Amino acid sequence: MDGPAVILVVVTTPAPPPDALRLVTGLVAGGHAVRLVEAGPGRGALSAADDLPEETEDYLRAIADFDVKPEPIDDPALREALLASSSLMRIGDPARAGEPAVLAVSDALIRESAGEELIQLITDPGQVIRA
Amino acid sequence: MENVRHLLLHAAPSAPGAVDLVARFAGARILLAGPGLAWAGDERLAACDDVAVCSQDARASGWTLEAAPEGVRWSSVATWLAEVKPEDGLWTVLP
Repeated sequence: MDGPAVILVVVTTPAPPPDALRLVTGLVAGGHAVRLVEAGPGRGALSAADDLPEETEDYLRAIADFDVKPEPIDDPALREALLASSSLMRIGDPARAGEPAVLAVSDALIRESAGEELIQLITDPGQVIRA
Repeated sequence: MENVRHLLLHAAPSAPGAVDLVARFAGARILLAGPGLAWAGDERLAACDDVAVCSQDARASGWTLEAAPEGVRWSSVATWLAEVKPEDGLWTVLP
């Protein structure tokens, strides 16, 4: 990855917990470049929800002051976002498959994965890290 | 500290992949937060350069610093994250 370090936060669950947003808010407040996106099952989980917990709303307002807002994105945009990222935080579904246990997401892996495959790539693993 | 890796350990050891990932983190700086407090007594953390405990989560759980191995310090999530350099690698272990 070239360019400034960007932490990509990918929401892949329809119900991201407030705790996860607390972590995102901490990164933003710490002055990091953070991009918050929603993909696959997470599309609209924050950007289009009308019944979010109050705590989550508070965090979204806080990061909005830093021009960080949740963006629903499709496969091609996710690919670009991943390639531009230096770190990856996946806010996943607790009921995800968990396979593989850990997936290192490299540039090569991102380029080799097409369409829905790319969404599944970061949705199913137990943990994902940017490699 | 050069080539520091940062691990935000928010998941309990039972989270998918958590043990596999933490095993890679000798020499890392770690923040235990939320369910991650469950890792406080894990011997693998002894190989890390710096282990911090989220004070807010610890207070909520009744956990005390006296129960931690030597060298463990308090931090808030915001303070710890402010020390992170993403270009060094921020790895997160979430539930």
